[in-house]
Amino acid sequence: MEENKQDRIQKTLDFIEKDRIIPEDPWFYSRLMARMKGETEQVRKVGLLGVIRLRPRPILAVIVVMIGITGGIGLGKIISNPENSIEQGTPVFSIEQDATTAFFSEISGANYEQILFMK
Amino acid sequence: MTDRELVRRIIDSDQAAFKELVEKHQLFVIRTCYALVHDMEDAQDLAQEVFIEVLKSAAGFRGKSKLSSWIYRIAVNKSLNHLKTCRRREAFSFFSFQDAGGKMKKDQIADRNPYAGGDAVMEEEELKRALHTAIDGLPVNQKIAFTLHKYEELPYKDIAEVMNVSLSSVESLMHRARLNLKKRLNYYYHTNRR
Repeated sequence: MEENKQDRIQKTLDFIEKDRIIPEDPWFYSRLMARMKGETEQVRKVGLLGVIRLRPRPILAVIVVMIGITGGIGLGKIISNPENSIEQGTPVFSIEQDATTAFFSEISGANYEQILFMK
Repeated sequence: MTDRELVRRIIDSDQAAFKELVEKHQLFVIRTCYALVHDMEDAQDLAQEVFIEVLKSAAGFRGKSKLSSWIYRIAVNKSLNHLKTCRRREAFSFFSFQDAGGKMKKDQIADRNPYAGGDAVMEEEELKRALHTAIDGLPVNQKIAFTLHKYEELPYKDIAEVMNVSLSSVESLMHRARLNLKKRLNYYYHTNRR
C-alpha cells in the first residue's frame, strides 16, 4: 500500500515532463499585434467620459458607501441630539427647572432627617 | 544580434525586431505562465500581456541582467498578479451568481463528463490535478524556483538572477520545494484514495 503510494507520487512528479510540453502557436504574434492594435484604438476612442462609463460599478459602489456613511453620521447626530429625545415642544431648561424647584420646595418645609428616614 | 541591440531597435519602433523577440521567447513565456497558473488560455493571455509590457518598458531595460531573465521576471510577476486577482475574485464570488473564474476550467468539464475519455486520459487528468494542487500549495518563492527549474529547465544561476536572490538561496528553495511537494502529494493521495 505504502509502496503503491510512493510509486504514484513518483509518477506524478515525472508527469512534469509531459505537462511542460507546449504546442507551438504560429498565430501568437498575429494575435498579439491584433490585441495591441485593438487596445490602442480603444484608448484613442474612449475619452474620460468613456472611462467613467466603462467603469461604473466601482464608482457606483464608492458613491453608495459615501451616501451610507453620510446618512449614518446624520442619523447618529439626530438620535444623539437631546432635544429630540424629550417630548416635542417642551424646552429642556423648563424640565430641569421643574425638577429642581419641586425638590427644594419639598425639603424646605420639613425637617431634613425626617424626610430622609421617615419612610 | 545582442540583447542590447535588439532592445535598442525595439525602442526605435522597429517592428521586425519586436517580432524577432516575440518569436524567440514566446514559448518559454507561455510555459512559465502556464506552470504558474495551470490554464493554457490564461497563460496565452498573460504571455501577450508580458510582451506588451516588454514593449512599453523596453527603455527601462538596463542590460545588467540577461534579456531573457528580465522577460522571465515580468512573466512571473504577471502570473502571480493574475493568481492574486483570481483569489480575490473567488473570495468575492459570494456576491455574484457567476462562477468565480467567470468560466469553467477544462478539468472541471472533464469531471462532469465521465465518458469524455478513456482510462489513460483520466489517469493523466488525475496526475495533472494532483501535480497542480501540490505545486499551488507551495510557498510563492518555492513555487517560482521549482517551476522555473522543472518546467523551464533553467539552471540555478539563472533562477537566482530572475528572482534576485543568491545561488545558495535557490538551492535551499529547491530542496524545500521538493520535500514540500512530496509531503503534499502524500497528503493528496492519502485524502483522495480511490
